[in-house]
Amino acid sequence: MSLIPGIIAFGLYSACLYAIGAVGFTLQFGVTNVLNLAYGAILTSAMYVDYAIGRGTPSIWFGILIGAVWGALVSVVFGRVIVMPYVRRGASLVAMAMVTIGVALIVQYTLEAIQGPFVYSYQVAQQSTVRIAGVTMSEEQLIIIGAAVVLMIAVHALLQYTRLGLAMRATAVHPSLARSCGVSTERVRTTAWLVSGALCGISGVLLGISTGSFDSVTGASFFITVVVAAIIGGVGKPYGAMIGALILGLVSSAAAAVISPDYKDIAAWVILIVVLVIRPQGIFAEFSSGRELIG
Amino acid sequence: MNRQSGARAYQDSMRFSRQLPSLAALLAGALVLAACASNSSGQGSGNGRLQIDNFDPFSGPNSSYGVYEQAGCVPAVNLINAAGGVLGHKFYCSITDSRGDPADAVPAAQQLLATSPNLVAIVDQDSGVLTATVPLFNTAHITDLSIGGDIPFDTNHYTYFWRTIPGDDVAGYSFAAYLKHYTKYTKVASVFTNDQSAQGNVPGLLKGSKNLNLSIAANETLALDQTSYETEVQRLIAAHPQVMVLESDPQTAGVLFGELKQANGLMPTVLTSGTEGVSFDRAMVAAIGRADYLKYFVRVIQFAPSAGYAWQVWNRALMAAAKAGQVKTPSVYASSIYSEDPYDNVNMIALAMLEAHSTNPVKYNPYIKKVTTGSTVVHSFAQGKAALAAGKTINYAGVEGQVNFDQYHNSAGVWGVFQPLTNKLITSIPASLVAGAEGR
Repeated sequence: MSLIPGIIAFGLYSACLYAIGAVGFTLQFGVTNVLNLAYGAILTSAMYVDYAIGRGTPSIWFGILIGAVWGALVSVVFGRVIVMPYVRRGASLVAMAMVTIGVALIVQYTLEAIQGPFVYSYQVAQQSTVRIAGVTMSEEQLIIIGAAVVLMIAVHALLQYTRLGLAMRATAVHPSLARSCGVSTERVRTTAWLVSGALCGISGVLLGISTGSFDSVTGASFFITVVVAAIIGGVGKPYGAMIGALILGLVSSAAAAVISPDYKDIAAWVILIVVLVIRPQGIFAEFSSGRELIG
Repeated sequence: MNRQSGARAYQDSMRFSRQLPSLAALLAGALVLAACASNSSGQGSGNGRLQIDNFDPFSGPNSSYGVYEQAGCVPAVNLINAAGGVLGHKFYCSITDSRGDPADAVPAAQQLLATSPNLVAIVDQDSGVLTATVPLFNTAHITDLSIGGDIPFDTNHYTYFWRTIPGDDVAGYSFAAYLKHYTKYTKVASVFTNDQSAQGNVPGLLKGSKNLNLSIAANETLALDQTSYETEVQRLIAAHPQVMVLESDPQTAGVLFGELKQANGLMPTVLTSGTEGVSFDRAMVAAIGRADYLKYFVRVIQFAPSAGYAWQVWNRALMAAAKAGQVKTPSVYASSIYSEDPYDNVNMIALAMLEAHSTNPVKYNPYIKKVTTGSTVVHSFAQGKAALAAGKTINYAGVEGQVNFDQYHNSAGVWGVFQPLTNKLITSIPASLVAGAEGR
């Protein structure tokens, strides 16, 4: 049996999981210029909330709703209550990133305390499968791919075809100019936190459901891949994040199949290094914005 | 989002853009390192009592080990204290979270040593951190009875280090012996995650399979906690193994076997002691269902019979600790080597102190071996204390049975094959068959 259909199908599946998280991460950074390293912890917290509300029984659609609401809520509160005061005091990019690391650890250790020593596992019923081009995929995996595609289209529509999207792009490129043109940058940045948080929460819930089991550091490990995808594509560039995720998913899947599964993560980091050498700004980015932190 | 306004902004953003990916990668790395930071915590108040520290992972992927081992330490200490303690001293079990990772374990060990004047012993350090932490405890002259299977300690020369289980490589030989002598399978897939603990099994499995004329159809090393293992699944299926031997963390196993089942590729699978624990079982049931888990899987671990006087004393003490609210769900630990081992280790430490007439590790450490080689066989601390008081030399044969420390302070025992979830013993593997797999 050829490995190629499997590499493509499951590389795409992994890419979809990465892409939702990476787009959320990079979208928020693009608009606010705050490197939110608490993103992985918020992502993990969404798994816990979904697990608690669903009592351990996974439901993708319900989970997406819960993840979106939880992630959006937490992110907006995080952006307004924690990030904004620092930004107003003129915190640097690095200082702000350190604050987000602190928040990440607080969330992680809180979840660890709630969780205790055992991982959480969803109660998974027997799933129906579909065979496509010699590859067997579960209904759940196909739904996750579908959900990711819909979400990416929605992000595209938001950015390209709405006034809000235009305002977000303007704020990302030149916040002062956007303000002088009548754009409410405060509203835009709140929306950016909200949309980013929703994608973060959805990403967390789908990750939890797809792996079946999770603990307080599951999101932290996944977040690294999300950041790699975002950097490959060009930080602050949602389309770049999509492409970065696709490259990561396919290459790491191919590395596992062709070389050895042990080289999966290595392949991801090699891609990152190669891309940064060739295009330091990432594949998609021409030049990131970021003259000022706008929380 | 990439309009530019003027050459200045262009240059500024260019500089920023060039620095940003590196900065982001650096900070993301810092986040991971910080996320893995030590969570050392000593529990329980000393009040002048002597401290036995359970130095184990209580968080992170292997966190269930710490809970299992604390469930063994506490009943032992209760029995010792109830029997009047040792030389007028009573004990308590503290915990230190090693997180199962040398980077966290070393500062945790340093902090423990710096802040614990009543520390007299370490029990049950797990695999993966021994190389980093044993030298620290040895230099501090703290006796350390470990359950860690790290291979370098097969020929250990640390005076204060003792191990009452075989090395992880010996576990690998036991899998080969099981497959050869108790099953009809000859084509084996070796599937282990890329952490040090899991990888410790691989050399023994490969060499043992070769010695017993089993063929290795696939030898896969898995990266931990991926979102999909489908390509690995395809490689495995393409290799047509008849049986798989596996160690991984719960999440990796859940994803791997979920996809293996999806591809109709479930096969008889031998699990290692590294998969023991509620978390792994839950993840597997979630991934493939209880019926398939029971149908396809067995677990080969060091064997201690859930019967006999020593086990009954242990079990009663465990239930009493549960009744006192010190241990939850005691039935989970009653037949687990991960709880029985620290129970025995604490008893050996206390008996060694009695025989040495000292609670000072420098004095009692040589007696760890002596309390397992005397003339009067004892199966509990109380029996041992009475025998020593009567002027006899003792041979402590606890829940794990007879301990035979070799020149490297290692003691190996019998292996058992268990059904997961029910922990039902299917068969036991005599040491002679494992020795045969080793080529001895």
